[in-house]
Amino acid sequence: MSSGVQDTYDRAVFGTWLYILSDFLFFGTLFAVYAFLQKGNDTNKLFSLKYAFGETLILLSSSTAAGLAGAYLHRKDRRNTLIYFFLAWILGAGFAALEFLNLFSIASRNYTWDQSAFLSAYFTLIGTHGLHIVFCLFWMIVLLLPLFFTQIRDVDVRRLTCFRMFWQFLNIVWIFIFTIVYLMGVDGYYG
Amino acid sequence: MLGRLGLEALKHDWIEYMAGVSIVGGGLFILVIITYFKLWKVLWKDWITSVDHKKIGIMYIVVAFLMLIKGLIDAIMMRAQQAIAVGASHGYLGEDHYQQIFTAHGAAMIFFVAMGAIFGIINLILPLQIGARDVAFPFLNNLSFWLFASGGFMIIVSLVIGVFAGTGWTCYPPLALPKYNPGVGVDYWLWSVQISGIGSLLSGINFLVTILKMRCPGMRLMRMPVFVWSVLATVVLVFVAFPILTANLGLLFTDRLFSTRFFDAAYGGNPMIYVNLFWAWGHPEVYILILPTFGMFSEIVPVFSRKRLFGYASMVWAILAILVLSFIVWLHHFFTMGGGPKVNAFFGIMTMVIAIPTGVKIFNWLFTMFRGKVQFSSPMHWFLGFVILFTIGGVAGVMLALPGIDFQLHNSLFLVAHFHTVIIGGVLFGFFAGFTFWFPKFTGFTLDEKLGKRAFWCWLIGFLLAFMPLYLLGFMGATRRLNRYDVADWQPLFIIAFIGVWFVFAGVGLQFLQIFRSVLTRKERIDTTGDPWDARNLEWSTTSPPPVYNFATIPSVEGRDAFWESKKTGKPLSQGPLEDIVMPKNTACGFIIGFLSFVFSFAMVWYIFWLAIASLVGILAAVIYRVYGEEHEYVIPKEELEKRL
Amino acid sequence: MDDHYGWNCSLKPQILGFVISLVLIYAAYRLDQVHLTNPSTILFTIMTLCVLQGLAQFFFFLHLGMEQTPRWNLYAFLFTTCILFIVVTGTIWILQSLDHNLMRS
Repeated sequence: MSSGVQDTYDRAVFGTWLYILSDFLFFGTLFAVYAFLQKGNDTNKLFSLKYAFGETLILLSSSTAAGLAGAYLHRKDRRNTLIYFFLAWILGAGFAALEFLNLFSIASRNYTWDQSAFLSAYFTLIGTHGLHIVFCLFWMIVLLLPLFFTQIRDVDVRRLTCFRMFWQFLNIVWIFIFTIVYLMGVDGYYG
Repeated sequence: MLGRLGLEALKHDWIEYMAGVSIVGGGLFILVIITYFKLWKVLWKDWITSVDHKKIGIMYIVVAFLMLIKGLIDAIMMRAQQAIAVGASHGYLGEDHYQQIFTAHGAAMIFFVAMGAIFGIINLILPLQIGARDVAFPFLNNLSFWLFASGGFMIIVSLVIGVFAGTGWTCYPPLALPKYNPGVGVDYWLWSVQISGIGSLLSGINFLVTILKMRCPGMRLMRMPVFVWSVLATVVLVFVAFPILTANLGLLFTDRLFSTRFFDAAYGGNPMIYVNLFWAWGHPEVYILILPTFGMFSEIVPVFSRKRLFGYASMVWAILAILVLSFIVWLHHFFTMGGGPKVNAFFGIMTMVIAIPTGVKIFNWLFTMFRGKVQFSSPMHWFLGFVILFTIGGVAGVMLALPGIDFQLHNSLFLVAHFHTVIIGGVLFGFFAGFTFWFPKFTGFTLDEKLGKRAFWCWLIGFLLAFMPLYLLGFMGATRRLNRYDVADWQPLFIIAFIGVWFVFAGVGLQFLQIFRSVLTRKERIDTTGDPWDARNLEWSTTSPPPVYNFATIPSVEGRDAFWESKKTGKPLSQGPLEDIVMPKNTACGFIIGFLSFVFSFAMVWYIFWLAIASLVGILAAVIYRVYGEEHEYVIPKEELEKRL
Repeated sequence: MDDHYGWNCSLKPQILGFVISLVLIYAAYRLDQVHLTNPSTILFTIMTLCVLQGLAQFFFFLHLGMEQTPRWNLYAFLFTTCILFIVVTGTIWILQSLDHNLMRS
C-alpha cells in the first residue's frame, strides 16, 4: 500500500481511537452519576440477572464476529467479510431488541424514569448505550453497501476498520454496565 | 405545527426591540453589501465551503469578533445599570432582562469569543508550524466551524425570537429545571452550548491527530515550537473534558424534556451532580483558554527580544504539569457547597500548586527578555500588559484557593474581578498579541503599529478602571449578578467601572480603525519576504499569504527554531524534488450539516418535533452524501508548482 | 496495511479474546457459587473481573499496545483511563461528602 494511503489509514484509526476514548469518558460520567444515585435502591425486583447475562453473551458474540470480519477485511476476503459482519449485525440487532424490550417491560410495570433519580439514571445509561448500538447498526449497513457491488477498496478497509473498533468498544461499555448495574445491583452492594 | 412558537415570542420591551432591530438591521445590511459587490460566488466557493485551515481560522476569528461586540454591549449595559441603580433608583433594566444579559454575556464570551479566537489562531498557525499541508481531517475542520457558528447564531436568534436563559452562564439546576424555568431561555442556552461543544470536541481530536501524526520529518516532540506544545496540551484537555459537558447537558436536557429526576432533590436527585460535573469540565476549560495564549507569547517574546526562548524544557514541563493538575482542582469552584474540610483542603492545596508552573513560565519569558535587544512593538505591549494583569489576577486566584477566604469572597465581585483579569489580561491580550504578530502572514501586510499601541493603552486603562473597583467592592461585600444595591458608598466605584468600559469600547473602536486603516494603506507595509519580523519558526518560511498547500516541498528540520537556523547557516529547509500534491476538495456538506444543526436546535427549543426529526434525517442524508456522493480530493500537478517558484 | 499490521489479518486474537471474555464473564456471573460473605470482597472481585475483561477486550479485539513505536494509542488510553479514574472517584467522593454533610436531618 502506498504511503499516502497508509498515512490516511493511520490518521483515521488514531482519530477513531481518540473518539472512542472520549466516548469512554462520556459513559464514565454517566456511570459515576449512576453509581452515586444507586445507593440504597433495591434493584432485585427491577431486573433479571439471567436476562442481562444472556444479553451479554449475545453482544460478546457480535463483537467477536465483527472482529473476525475485520480480519477478513484486511485480507481483502469480500465473502467472509460480508458473512461475519452480517452475523455481527444479526446478533447486534438481537441485543438491541432485548435491551429495549427490557426497558419497555420495566416501564410497563410502572417503574418509569420520572419516578426517581435512580430510575432516571438506569434508563439514561441503558438507553444511551442502546441508542449507540442502534445508530451503529444503521451505519454498518451504510458502510457495507458498496461491498455488495465491488471488491474491497482501501477506503472500505479504512471505514469498516474504524467502525469495527467502535462496535467492539460498545461491547466493552456493556461489560461495565453488566458489572456495575446488574452484578453489583443484585449482589446487594448498593442496597 | 409550530410547537410552542407563537407571535408572543416576538414581544419584547423597548430595549430588547432596539437590540433586535439593530441585529436584524445589521444582518440585512451585510447581506445587501455582499449582494451589491457581487460577492456571493466568492463567499461560497472560497470561504463557506473551504476546507483550508487558513480560511477556516479566519472565519473563526471573524465570528469571535462579532460575538465580542455583542458581549461588550452587554457589559456596557450592565455597567450603566449598576452605575445608577443605588438605593431608591431601580435603574433602567428590570431583573428578568438583566439576568438574560449577564447570562448571554458569559455564554457568548466564553464559548464564542474565547473559544473562537483560540481555535481560529490554532487553525491558522498549527499546520504551518509543524510543516504540514493541512490538519488531519480537513472536512471535519470545516464541519466543526459550522457547528460552532450555528451555536453562536442560537444566541443571536434568542435576542429576536423568544428569550435567552436568565440563570447565569453556568445554568445551574434547580433554577434551570422546568419548575422554575419552563420557557425557551434555558433551552436556547443548552442547545447553543451543546452543538458548539460537539464542534469543539471534533476540533480537539482533529488537532491532536494532526500534532501527533503529521509533523514534518525531523520534528521530534522536543523540537516542536512551544506554541505547538501548548496546543497539544490544550487539545488533550478538550478531548477529555468536553465529553463530561456533553453528558452533563444531556442530563439537564432529559430533566427538562423527559422529566428525568437527576437534579430534583424531591425524587432522590441532587443538583450538586450538575454543579460537580459542570466544573469537572469547567476547570479544564479555562486552561483550554489560557494555554494557547501562553504558547503564543512563547513565540512572540523571543522574536521581539532577538533571543531564543529561555528554558525550553522547563516550559514544556510546565505545560504538562498544568495539563495534569487542571484535572484535580475543580472543586474550588464550589468550596462553599458543603464538601467539608477534607474535600476542601485537598482541592485548595492542589489549586495553589497549579499556580507554580505558570509562575515558571512567566519567569522564563522575562528571562528571555533579559539581556535581549527588546523591541517594544505592539505585540510586546500586549505581552507586558499580560504580565501585569495576569499576575494580579493570578494572585487573586491563589487567595481564592484558600477555602477560608473563599467563603467570604465566593460569588462576590472579587471573584468576578479575578476571572475577568485572567481572561482579559490572559486570553484576550494574548490573542491580540498573536493576531497582530501573525496578521502579515495571512494578509501580506502588517498592521499600523501606532493605532495598535493606542488601542492597547485604551484596553489597559479601561480594564483597570473597569475591574480594580470590583476587587474593592468584593471585599466590601458586593455580591455578583445584582441589578441594584442599597449601599450608597459603592456607587462611586460602580461609576468608575462604567467609565472604564467606555475606554475598552474605545480600544475596540481603535482596533477596528486599525484594521480599516491598515487595509487602506497596506502598500506602505507590504511583507515581501514572508518574514517581516525576522522570526524563528516554520510558518515564516512560506510566502505571505502562503499558497493553499503551504509548502511546495515539505521541510525537514534538524533542531528547534529550524527556520532561524536555516537563515543563519544558509542551508535551505526543503530539499526534496517537487511532486504532485493531493489536496482536499471544498465541500458544502459541512455548512449544510451546520445549518441543519441550527434548525434542529431551534426546533428542539420550540418543541417543533416534526422539524427536529426532519433536520436529523437531513443531517444523516448529508453525511451519507459526503461519504458516497462526492470527490474528496484533487491533485495539484508538479508543473503548476514549478511555475510558481 | 497488511505489512505493517500483521495482527490485523489474524483471526487468533479475536478468538482468544472471545474465549477469555467468556471465562471471565461466566466467573463473575457465577460468583454466588463461591459463597463470599464480605461485601467488600465481592465488590473487589467483581470489579477486578470486569477490569480484566475490559483490558482483555482492549488488547485482543482492539489491538491495544500492539502498534509500533511511538505507541500513541497506548499512551492516549493510559492517560484517558487515569483521567476517568480521577473524575469518577472524585465525583463520587465529592457527592458522597456533600450528601453526608447536607442530606441528613
